[in-house]
Amino acid sequence: MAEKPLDCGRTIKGKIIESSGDPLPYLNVLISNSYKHSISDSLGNYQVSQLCDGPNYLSIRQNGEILYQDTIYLSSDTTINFELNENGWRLNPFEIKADANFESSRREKLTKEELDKKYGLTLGQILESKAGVRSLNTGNSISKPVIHGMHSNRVLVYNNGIRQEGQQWGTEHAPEIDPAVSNNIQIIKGAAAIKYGFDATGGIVLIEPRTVNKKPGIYGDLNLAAFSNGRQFNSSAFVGGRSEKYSAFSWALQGSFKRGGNLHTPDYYLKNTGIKEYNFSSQLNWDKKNYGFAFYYSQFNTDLGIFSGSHIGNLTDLQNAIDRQIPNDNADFSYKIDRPMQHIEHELSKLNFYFNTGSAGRLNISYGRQYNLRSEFDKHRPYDDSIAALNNPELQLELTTHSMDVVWNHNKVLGLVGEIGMNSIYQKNTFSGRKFIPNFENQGVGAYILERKKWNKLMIEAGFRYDVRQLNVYFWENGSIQAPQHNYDDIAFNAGLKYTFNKKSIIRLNLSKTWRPPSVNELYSDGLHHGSAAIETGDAELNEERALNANLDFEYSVSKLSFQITPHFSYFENFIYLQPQFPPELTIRGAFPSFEFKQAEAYIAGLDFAGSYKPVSFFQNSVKFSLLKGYNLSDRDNLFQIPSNSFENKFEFLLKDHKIFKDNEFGLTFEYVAEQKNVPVARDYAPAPPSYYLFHLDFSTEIKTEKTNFKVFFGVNNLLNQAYRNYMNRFRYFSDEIGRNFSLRIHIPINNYENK
Amino acid sequence: MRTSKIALGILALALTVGSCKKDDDLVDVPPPDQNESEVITTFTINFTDPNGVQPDVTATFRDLDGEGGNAPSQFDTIRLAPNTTYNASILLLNESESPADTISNEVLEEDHEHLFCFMSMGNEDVTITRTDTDGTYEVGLQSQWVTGMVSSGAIHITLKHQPGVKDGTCTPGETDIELHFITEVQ
Repeated sequence: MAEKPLDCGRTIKGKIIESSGDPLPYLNVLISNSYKHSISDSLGNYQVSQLCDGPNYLSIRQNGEILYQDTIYLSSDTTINFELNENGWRLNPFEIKADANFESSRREKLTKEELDKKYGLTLGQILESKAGVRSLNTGNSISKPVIHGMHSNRVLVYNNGIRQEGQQWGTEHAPEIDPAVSNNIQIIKGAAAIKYGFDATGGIVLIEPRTVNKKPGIYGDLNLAAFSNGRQFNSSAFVGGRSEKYSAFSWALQGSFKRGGNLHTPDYYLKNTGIKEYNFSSQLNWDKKNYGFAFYYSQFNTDLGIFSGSHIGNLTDLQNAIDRQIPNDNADFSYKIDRPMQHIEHELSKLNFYFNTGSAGRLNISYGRQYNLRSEFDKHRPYDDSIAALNNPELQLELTTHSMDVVWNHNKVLGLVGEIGMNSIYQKNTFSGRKFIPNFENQGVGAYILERKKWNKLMIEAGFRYDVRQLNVYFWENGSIQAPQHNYDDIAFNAGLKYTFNKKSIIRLNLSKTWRPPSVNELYSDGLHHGSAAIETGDAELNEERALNANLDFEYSVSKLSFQITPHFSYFENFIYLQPQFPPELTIRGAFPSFEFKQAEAYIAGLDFAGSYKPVSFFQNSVKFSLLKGYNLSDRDNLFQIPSNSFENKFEFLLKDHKIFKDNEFGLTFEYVAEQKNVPVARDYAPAPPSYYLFHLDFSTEIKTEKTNFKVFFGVNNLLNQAYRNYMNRFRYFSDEIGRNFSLRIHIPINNYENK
Repeated sequence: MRTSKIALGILALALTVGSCKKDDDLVDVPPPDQNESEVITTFTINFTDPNGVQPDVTATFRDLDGEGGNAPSQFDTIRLAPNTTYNASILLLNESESPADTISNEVLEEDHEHLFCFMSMGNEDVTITRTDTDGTYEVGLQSQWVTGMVSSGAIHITLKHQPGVKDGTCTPGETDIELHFITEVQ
């Protein structure tokens, strides 16, 4: 397909071994710029020939997964040995990239290239490309990742190694992260990795920041995107450099901008659905072989319009909105963002320090500070003109979080490799305006140990952690300040194995116990939740939620066919959920449905499948589907808001290179989402929407000239302009999903920035 | 090139170390429950007989802590005399503040955005007509209630907030008030 690469007669060879000295066979060493590769033999030896001098992009892969990559500068034939010490590759002692290879859970990775193809989408929408991951949406601009039917407090998001702390309890509160800051995003489905937290029953999302090239110089890249629907445009620029004099020193700056206007369903515009976002991040790193430190700072700012047809006065309005098929608030296109709207700021500062503790391991200490501001502006301005003129938000929450993590990764001790860590967190929340959740202070400390032992084909992993949490709440009652305190402590553990049958199949099994303390909204929310037109009442007597989880993962891969099949099961004790109360609560604004937080025995079970078949080099067919059921065993009823079963089939064609157009790929995707039939009785205002199917089309090409190369992605979402509603969109009561959407994305590397 | 490199490095440094946003330290001093956000706590409708024959009638709905929390403390039945023409006027108050804020004055100021709707929900023999106007459409702060025979039922009173979409009907807009008054003509 590609142009015939040059052959300058250069060779790289060497040996790939484990820290024990055992050779690592069957690894693919690829030099991607010249399309040359070598498979390591039974002694771990590899040799790649016919290379040229200058930069060579080397990667070590296993089943297509990149274990390690680096840029090698050749000026003569070179021998490079790679040693995998189970905490990372020796040549790159500062990153723990190969760690994933030793986990009893499979990490699903979105590479920078995949992220470039999805540039401009929200984090939730990007993650949906993986089987078993869906999103809970509020319109098109707010989307929260849902992993195995769980979201919000049951899914952890790590941004650059720091646990994201925002107002994640709210269903209309999306993670305050710009995906453009990331080099790659990893998803660990299920509760397998307790080192990240005791409460990740649903799963973990890891957002890894951009890295700077190893070679001195200044590099960068530019992502541009434009969408026809909403006339949205995005741009993001990254520039990073490494000092020539002090090769340990590197820096990077990244900034992005997003602007979109009213979105359009196949039949009408959605009033006030514009979005504005401006973000930046910066980093300074000092990396030596035996020690290093890093500063990281990022800011996320957004103003987003909430579809005005969704802000309703009361239950009658809601019923009217459901009854009319087309929203009452009609509109034309506009970029203007009016009430109701949200203004959100999130700031992350991180200070990280590490050093090698002799040959025994490495100690990593990081401190993070996060500041989260959330202002919600209601549609309705105050009647009093002097108050209205202030244009204050009706609800404002400020949350500041300090966290400190200390982790010691150790090399082989008594045949075990692993890590010991401690996490601590302190956060405080204040509110102004309408009371929904009270002021609180939340502090916690936890410690964990995670150890692994590897034999030839079998790897066993076990982890244990203990956490203590304290929540202090402050609110007024009968003219005096009340300050109740809640204390929680519990253990979490996981035990897993990974067995490699042969080169073709890997089986992973993970059993775990997780828990989480009730969150402050579950304990103390009291009032009208405007986004959902419901009165929600917390229960300060709630207990910890506990879950026992089992995840099995079977992976099969041969040259033409590969698939992964993942059944999973979680049993909950004290599952916290909202239960409807009767009769509805009477207010001056009419009757409102009222819900109380309750606890029940429940389970969530499901199965994910992803597979691809490539019978010939120019054609590939990929299939994924997920099945899911959530059930409340105490009430003998289904759980609310569990994603319905879905199926996706993608046909990809690799077209012949044409002049400067290389790697031309054409794809057609068929997506089917079934109606959710397993809905709870008398819980919902409207029945679940019917099944729907969609077609999407995409085309990508790389334009390569002597001077530059850049990638162009063209796509059409909802090709047939279908009108449909999604059970997982909270606006399904009010409006259809958006219609056909053309997109154009361009990725331009500057000065050979590596697209890791 | 070299200067621009240094400039970029310094910019990275400045952005990384600088500009942390200040947070609110007053966690243990929560804002009082009666906060700035505005609520309508009280709806009162006053009926007068212009002929001075029948005594004045008042019906009130009162929920001092707004939505949620405690249940409404007062929700009267409208009791009118038969065969009488009443002038009715609506008063809206925020009694969570002291002195109470008269919200109906604000509604009057923005009368082009507001509409009261009166719907019969039973067998009461009452005919209601709005008697005020914003210049184009009726408002409903003032209305005329004509009673007939002895009867009973209910009147559903809603206040619609219709900024930019007011068309004289009760369909558009958001509901600010919705009260279901038991109504008796006796």
